[in-house]
Formats: sequence, C-alpha cells, structure tokens
Amino acid sequence: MTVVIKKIMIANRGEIACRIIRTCREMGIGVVSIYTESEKDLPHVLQADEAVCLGSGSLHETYLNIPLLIEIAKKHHVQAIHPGYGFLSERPQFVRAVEAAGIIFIGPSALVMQLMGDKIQSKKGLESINVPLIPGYHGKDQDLASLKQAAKKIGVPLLIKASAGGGGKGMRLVEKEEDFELALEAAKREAQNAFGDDRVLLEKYLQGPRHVEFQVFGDHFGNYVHLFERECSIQRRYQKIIEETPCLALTPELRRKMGEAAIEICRMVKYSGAGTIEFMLDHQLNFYFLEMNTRLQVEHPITEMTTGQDLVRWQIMVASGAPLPKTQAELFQQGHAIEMRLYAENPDEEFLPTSGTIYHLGQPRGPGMRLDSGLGQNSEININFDPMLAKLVVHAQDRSCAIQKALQALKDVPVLGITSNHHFLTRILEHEAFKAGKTYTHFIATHGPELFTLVDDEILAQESACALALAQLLGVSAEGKHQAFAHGPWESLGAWTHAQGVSAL
Amino acid sequence: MKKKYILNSHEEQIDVTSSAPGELQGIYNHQYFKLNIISLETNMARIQFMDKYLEVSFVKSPEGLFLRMPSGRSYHVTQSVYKRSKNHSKNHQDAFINAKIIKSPMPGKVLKIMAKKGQKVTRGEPVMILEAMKMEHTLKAPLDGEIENILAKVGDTVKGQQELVTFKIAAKEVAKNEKN
Repeated sequence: MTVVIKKIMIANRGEIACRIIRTCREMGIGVVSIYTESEKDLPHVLQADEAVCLGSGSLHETYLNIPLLIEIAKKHHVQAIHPGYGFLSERPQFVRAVEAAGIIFIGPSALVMQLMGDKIQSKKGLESINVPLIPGYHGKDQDLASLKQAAKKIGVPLLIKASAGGGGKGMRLVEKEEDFELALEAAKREAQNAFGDDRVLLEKYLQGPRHVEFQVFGDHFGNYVHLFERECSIQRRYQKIIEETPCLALTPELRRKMGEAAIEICRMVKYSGAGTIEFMLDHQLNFYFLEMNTRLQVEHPITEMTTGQDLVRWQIMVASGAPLPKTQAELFQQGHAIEMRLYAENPDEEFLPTSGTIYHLGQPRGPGMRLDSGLGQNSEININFDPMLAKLVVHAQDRSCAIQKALQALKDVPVLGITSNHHFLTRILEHEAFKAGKTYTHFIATHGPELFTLVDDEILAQESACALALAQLLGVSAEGKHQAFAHGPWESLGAWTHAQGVSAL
Repeated sequence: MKKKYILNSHEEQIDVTSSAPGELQGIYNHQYFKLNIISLETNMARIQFMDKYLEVSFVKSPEGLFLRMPSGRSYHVTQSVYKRSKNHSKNHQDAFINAKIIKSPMPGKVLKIMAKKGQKVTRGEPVMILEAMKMEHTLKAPLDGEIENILAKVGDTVKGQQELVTFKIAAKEVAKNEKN
C-alpha cells in the first residue's frame, strides 16, 4: 500500500538539505526546514516552503533534539521525515520516535539500523553468510588485558575503531605494539564523547588498500539492487576527500562478485531504503566487509551521475511503499564521475579547521559539473558545524577527462575569503600517482610531502607581484558587506581611481 | 611611488613606476613587471602579466582582497596588519621556534593533562589532549625540557592561541637551536 507523501520535514541543514529540497520540488512535495538562530539566511531555510527556528542552543538542544523535532513535524502535518546524513540519520531511537508519532522515517527500520550501526553485532551476523571480514577482534570483553591479548594475536599494524563509530572518530592506527595502550585510551575516550559508547573493535591494517563501497537499495517487497561502486580511497584521518566511480581496480567479474555480496547483506537483514556497503580491497584484490552505512552518503552524487538515477527520489518512493524503480538488469554505469569535498581547513597547518566568511564561492560553468552547497552570500563559517563547505562533482566520458574537468571546475569555484583545502584538492588531482590510478587509502600519507611542496620562488614571486598589482588597481577593501554583492564590472571598478594620481609620475 | 601592502600576513612593497586605468608597471622584489587588465567580471579578471594571459578569481570584501591564481594558490591582500583569530599561522610557528609555550591551535576543550608542573619531558611526549570538532588533538612537547607551568585544567574551554603550557628548555636544546 503506497502512501502519498505531500510534505516532508528535513531534519538536517546545509548542502544535504538543499539537495533533498531539489528532489522534493521535482516531485511536487512540500518541504519543512529547520534551522538555528544564526542560519536564518541560509539557502536551506530560504528554499523551503516552511521553516522553523530551533533557537540558538547547542546541537543537543537543536538539530539533535528528538522531542522538539517530532513536535515540529506534528504541528506542520508532515507525512515523512528525511534525516539527511550525520545528525540523527543513524539513531534508532529517532526512527522509533518518528514512527511512534505516525510519521514515515525515510530510511531503514530502527531494528536494522541498530544492527548495522553496531559494528560488533553486524560482523557477527555476517559470518553466517560468508561475507569476508578483515582479521580482527570484535569481542565483548573490553578490558585492557583481553584487548591487549587480541592485539597481539592480530599483530601490528592494526586499527582501533569505535564500535558505534563512523567518520574517523574514535579511530586510531597502532604501528608499534608499545603504542597500543595510549592509543586505546584515546580511542575509547573519543568514542565515549562522540557516541556515548566506548566499546572498540580491533582490526588488521591492510596493505595497499582501497576503500570501495557499493550503493545498495531495498524496498518493502524483498527487492534488492546495487547501483555499483564508489572508490573513496583519497582520505585523511579517515575522512573522505575525493571519491570517484567506477573504481579502476575492479574487473567486471570482481564488480559482480562484490555487488552480489552487498546484496546478500541487504537480503540477510531485509534492508529497505538507501544504504552503503563499505569494503576494503587489498592489493591482491581480496575484498573484506568494513561496515554498512544506513543512510544516504555524502558522496551519492557520483553514483547519480554515472547511473542517471536520483537517489533521493528512490528513497522517497521506497519510503512511500512503492517498489524499487529499476531492476538490477536495468542499471548500468556510464562514464566517470569524481567528487571533491571542499573543507574549511588549513592543509598547511595540520588541517586545522578554519573559520571566517566566504565572500565568493563561485559556480561551475560547464556541462557535467555540479556544485552541492548550502552556503549563501557571505556565509559565516563557524566551527560548530561540520567543516565541509561544498561538494564539487564532475562527470565525463572517461577518467582522464573527468580529472581535467575536475581541475577546471575547481577554477570556477575559487572559494574566496576563508582558508580551505581548495589548492590541496588541485594538488591531488594533478599528482602523477592519482592520474595513474594509484589511489590507496594511504595516498595522502605516502605523497604528503609532494602535495605540500611549495612551487619555485620565481612563480611565487610572479604571483605575488600579480596580487599586489591587482590590489593597487582594484583596491583592497569593500566598504560594508554590500560591496561583496557587487552587481557588475563597473561597481567593482570603483577603486581604480586610486591609480590616477600615480600616472603623473 | 612605493606602495605597502600586507600579502598573506607578510608586509610587501611594490614600486609603481607607471599606472593608468587597468594598467600598471612597477618593480617588485627587484624585478620589473607589467600588468594589464584585459577584461573584468564581477569576480574574475583576465589579465596580461608580462607575456602571460591569466584568469584570476577575486573578491573585494570588508576583510580585504582575496585572489586565487591559475595555479590554484590563494592570496589575501590588505592595506594594514590584518587581525583575525584564524590568522594565527605566524604566532603558531613562532611558538614552535621559541618552543617555550604550547598554545591551543584552535578553540576547544581540555580533555586530559598528562604532564605535571616541574616534570621533565622529552620531545614528542604527549602533554595535553584537546577536543575540538569532536576530534582529539594531542599536544606534544616541542623539545626536551621541563614543564614550567600548566595554565589550563581539565574541562576548561580554551580559545585559539590561548597559552596552555610553558616550558623551561633543556640546555642542549638551546645550544642546538642557536647552532641552527
């Protein structure tokens, strides 16, 4: 029985809220957005049909405040809630609260979410269907002695991961046995703070690994499909930076095998909605299950571009009780897509988060380019939210064309006003090893020095001269915020008058 | 005519020898240069710099002029010293060179303090753990030395660049630094 969804509340903000709004518009569905005091001018608020202010408290009082969100949803008579990613998207208690209020949660059931969100339990379940797992310790005993003994058995290098974790939080790499204790302590503390659960698991650290994940979908009729892979090997501290699809390392045979394994996992737990099965692929092309994410991923656009499907539309359809729009045989990959994540961080200062104002973001100007951003004019970036500023996505006929297009897209989106990883992304895309497809998860650690190397002094001096000359010709400051909205070339010419007196010299 | 600017937090100077609307010649870093603006859009200038044609993205803001060159590097130009909390790169480096103070690299919360006042520490030894952006940052002793004072306690919310730990530097380190 399908439900007609007429209005959706988005329990999220920023680029993903804007992304969901776009599909809702296409489907003729109304949108209720939520926001905090400081966000009232952001696109996810302005683009909504109705927007509700959550006040100005901490995250727990606003975006993570389940009773408040349910109250708003009820008051505005929404039929469904889309959680986006992050925030409450993977909290089973939120799913239960939504469903108890008679509202559809756009995502899997609380039970499946709980199972797959718990990395220890999910791995136990998978052993029964022969999905390969990375050698490791997923045991209940969490005392130091047991963990130490398990670590010894697995051997270094090994990873300590938060059982309830994700996004690199509560994760530590141990390269020497004597570092284990200190790393364990830190991982447990980080896990406790981030997830309220300090249980950890241990895992063998693989050689030459690639992070390859499969987009999966299930409906309420026992249909399951995958929408192929995404390679997300370019990471730093387990945060993805560049993702692409297809993955160069996969043969059609391996792709089929991994896809089938992904679908088997969905079938086992009767998964419904959008999910991602993450695998590690080692240099001998052995693949191991890593985890399942029970939500729409940040990097979903590259799958949309290569398969021509709208994954948010799929999510809404499945949630409304409709069957999957396509069968496996009807899905195929076309061309190559790359996503670059722009972060407010400073690569030259150990990637510390930066804050400030973005005075000009830019817009890509070409076919096959997409900018997903939740930023408005002169958006203030503060450290209270995720440091991701925007996602720049390109699609081209093959990988080398996609890399060229990605570099051009970065030029179209200069991100001015705040220190970002913009130039770092350029350096990665231009790197020979990246172009050759040698994208292993330790890419940045391996090529770090080359990615940061300063160019020769001559070019630096030329660019400095350019910058100073332009400062002299254009002027350096705009009075008041409005100048940054300059409407055309003539307004921005204002300060040329600076130079007039000089010409007499 | 000499013009001073702050370029990426460093004071720089150009000597403008001739200038007309959209055109400028001068000396920078003992080198002659000539720049013409060929066309100008709201946030994009097409310029001729010596014999090269370049597209430069820019924005003028209350915080100065921000530019991005075709190489991908960004530049920030202001008239005078620019004060903003995020612009602490120089201080940050100084702290390491002098190595007498550990400052918080960013706003955050003190999670754990591993060292005590008067304790001897070796270079790289973890001294304090800060939590920021839900990630932990371990602050390590920059050199061999002795902890002179700890200026924060567990649970404190600290600002970026706040002084957290001061050191007495071991004599051999001082000698090493001087040699360098």
